[in-house]
Amino acid sequence: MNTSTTRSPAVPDRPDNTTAPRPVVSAPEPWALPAVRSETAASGLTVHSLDLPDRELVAVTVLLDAPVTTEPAELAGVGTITARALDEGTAHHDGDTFAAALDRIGADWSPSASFGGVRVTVTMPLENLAAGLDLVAEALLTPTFPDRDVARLVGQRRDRLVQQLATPGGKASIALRAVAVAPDHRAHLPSGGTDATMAALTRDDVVAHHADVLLTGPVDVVVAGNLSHVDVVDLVDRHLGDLGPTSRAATAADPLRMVPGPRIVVVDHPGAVQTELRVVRPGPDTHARDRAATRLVAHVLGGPLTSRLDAVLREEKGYTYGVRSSLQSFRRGGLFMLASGSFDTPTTGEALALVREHVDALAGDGPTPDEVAGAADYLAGVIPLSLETPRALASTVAGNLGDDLPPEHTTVHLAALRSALTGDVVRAARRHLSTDDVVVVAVGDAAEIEPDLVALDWGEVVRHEP
Amino acid sequence: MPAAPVTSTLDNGLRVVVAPDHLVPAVAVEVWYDVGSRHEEPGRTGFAHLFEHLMFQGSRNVDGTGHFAAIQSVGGTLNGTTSFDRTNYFETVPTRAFELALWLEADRMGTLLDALDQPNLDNQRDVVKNERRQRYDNQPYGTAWEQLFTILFPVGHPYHHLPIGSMEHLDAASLDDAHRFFLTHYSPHNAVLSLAGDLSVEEGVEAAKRAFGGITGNPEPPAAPDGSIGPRDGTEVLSSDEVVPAASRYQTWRVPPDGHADHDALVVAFEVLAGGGASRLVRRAVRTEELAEAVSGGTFEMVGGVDVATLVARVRSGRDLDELGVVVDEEVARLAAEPPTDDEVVRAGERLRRDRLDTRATLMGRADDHARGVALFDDATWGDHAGDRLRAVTPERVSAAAATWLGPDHRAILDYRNVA
Repeated sequence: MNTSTTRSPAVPDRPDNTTAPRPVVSAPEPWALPAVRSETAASGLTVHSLDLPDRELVAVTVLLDAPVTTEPAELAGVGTITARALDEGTAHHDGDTFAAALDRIGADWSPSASFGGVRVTVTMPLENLAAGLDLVAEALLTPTFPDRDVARLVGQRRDRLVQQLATPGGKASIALRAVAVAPDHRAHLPSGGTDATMAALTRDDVVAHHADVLLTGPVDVVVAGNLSHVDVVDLVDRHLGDLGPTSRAATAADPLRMVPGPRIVVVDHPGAVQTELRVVRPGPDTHARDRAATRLVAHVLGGPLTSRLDAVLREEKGYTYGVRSSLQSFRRGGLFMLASGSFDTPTTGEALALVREHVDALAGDGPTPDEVAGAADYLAGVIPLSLETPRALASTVAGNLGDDLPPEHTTVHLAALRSALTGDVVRAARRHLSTDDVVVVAVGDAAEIEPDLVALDWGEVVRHEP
Repeated sequence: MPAAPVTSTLDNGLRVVVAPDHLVPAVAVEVWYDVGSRHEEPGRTGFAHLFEHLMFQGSRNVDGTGHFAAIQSVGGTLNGTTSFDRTNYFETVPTRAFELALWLEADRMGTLLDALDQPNLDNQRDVVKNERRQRYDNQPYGTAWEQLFTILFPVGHPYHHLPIGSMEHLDAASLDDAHRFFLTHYSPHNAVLSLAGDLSVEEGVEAAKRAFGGITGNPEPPAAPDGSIGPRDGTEVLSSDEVVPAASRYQTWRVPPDGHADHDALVVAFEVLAGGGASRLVRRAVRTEELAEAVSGGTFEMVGGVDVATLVARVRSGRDLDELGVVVDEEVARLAAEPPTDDEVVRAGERLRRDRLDTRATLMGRADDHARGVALFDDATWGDHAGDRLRAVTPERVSAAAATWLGPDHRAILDYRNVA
């Protein structure tokens, strides 16, 4: 081992390097989501296919109309456990051999439950599409939900909640919902449920949720990949057709209801070297006419590095590794995360004061035309770049469907981002940027930060223990 | 299967690899510098990473946040990362802007020092210290690897410390350090430019010449320190007093680096042990005996004469860490004693093949993979050929490699037992 020479003894100064002139970049081309072909199969399934030439992987997402709003409050998380238990035993496999069967065809398996419904996504090499659909059909139609495996999944979920609550970010996310969302709305609780709801959950609840909710409503199947030689509707119908018939109407959304501030909620994390902050108020959902304009506002306020908040809190002050603003949607109704980030403990109060000052300033004057153009160029460019893989495209289409939007809504949203006028964005900033009714969650060393938070005089300061 | 990458070298030593792929109208650009935390001087841990931040603070023709602003204004994504072995900078941009990305990379490779000043350094030092707090100090188990590497490798070994470095050393970093570091390591002779996407090989190479051709730089960047070292002699167990949500065991071994035949066998071994729901440890410890909430394992893919293999096991509430430890040890020993089944090795191969398909499903995945291949193995297709090497691994080679490298007396272990 030799670590004695990690650099040359004498490094010459560099001669004056010439650099080429800065290249001029041409104007962007319009963009559209790859065409989505939506057809109703004989069984009643709605099949959405995206033909993506030359892709090696194919993604299938089955979206069942079983949103978390269908879960009784006392059984919150039953959808998540049901989705996760689908592959723990079927008519032809136990959990171990099902996992081995997925491995043999190079497939991954990801179940989830959200406000858009229960989703199972499987991706695999194209040549294994039919084999993958067989496994999807088996899991969705013939799960055995072994008692012991359901109990284990519940136990693991409870353990992971403990893990989540031990991280500042996880604690902040759970606390935020608990203190900012109305207690009678499902979003008040985590999508995966709480320790109490998990403790109450039985195998019978899972069996009933599967039979009464997952299998009774409308089903969308999204397939994305190199499908030029595949009769997608026929293939999907042959494998999953038994999911097609419905015995009830589609579920209705329950619009998000929030508890307005202003107030600051402190979650004690003794000894924390940083404070995890969230600043939130209601925001436009994906249906809102000013959704695109408000997304541009969020980018100007808290997009990466060049945003107003990062410019001062990171690049000028060095208080944080980074702060972000975002919009979150709950099928109907949404929230505007004005700021989210971790701040050096001694700077917590000042950081929040600066967030407030910059939100108010942006609400007052609105973004400049240059900021609007920059945000539009950025978002209209990066959204297509994020949709490179079959899986990302299938997920985006399923997300649109889960929000009751047309599958190709992303194209419309992108055009709205591109064509937003500064006046629209200024109005959106005035409408959605307020600091008078925000809820602030601060996960940190309460004894250290509370005096500074009280001194902000920004609504009552209360403690919360998630 | 996408077109093969083509590698060439410019007159100034910059290696350029181009992989045409016209599926989406975008180009991924990566500049890989052969400098990471293993190259750091004593007393300056964390410097390579701090320096990476300084690379985003402007250069002769780019102002403070100009690099980010320029890429964002064309709808591109960008970032940089620092690891043990290398530092990389990358952008994915619409095709129309790929020359701009090259120009920005070239401006900082050539003229960073024109813009580097004390306020930049002081600000980014604070940002990096907050990065350390956020990602390490304020997270449960956040300093596990840092603690383990201090006992896995002797003092003075290039992998004794992590890229994030210590607060003390970050405080000590000076502007003079930054000047010397740049002049030593940030040279076209020490870099690989990798392009993947909607362009031809000729377009890529010509654009690289235009942007980077005028840059000179240290023609003899220092060789990486030789970290060659065999298995640990004896097992050491550290016990953390950190209060954690669940008892956990992190264990590590020193194993041969990527490129060594045994490394391939060990990659397969960790798939058999902990790769997915049908692996031995998940089946037994998580699903059957319900001792573990989660088990994971694998290698870090380090190349400096040695790599690190790990198994991490976290107990289910109410269960015992020592009991879980026995099960983990038994499964490692069983793999070392008798070859896995053909079916296990086939499944491991399919999982690994799938990983490759995921890597090359994105332009950035391919650009990074090719840069790594050229920089470390002088072969852009190193990653693409991993499947052939891994498929050649036999059950006997798996157990032989486990017996040689994953012995119970060669470990560094960190236990967390102080449960909240």
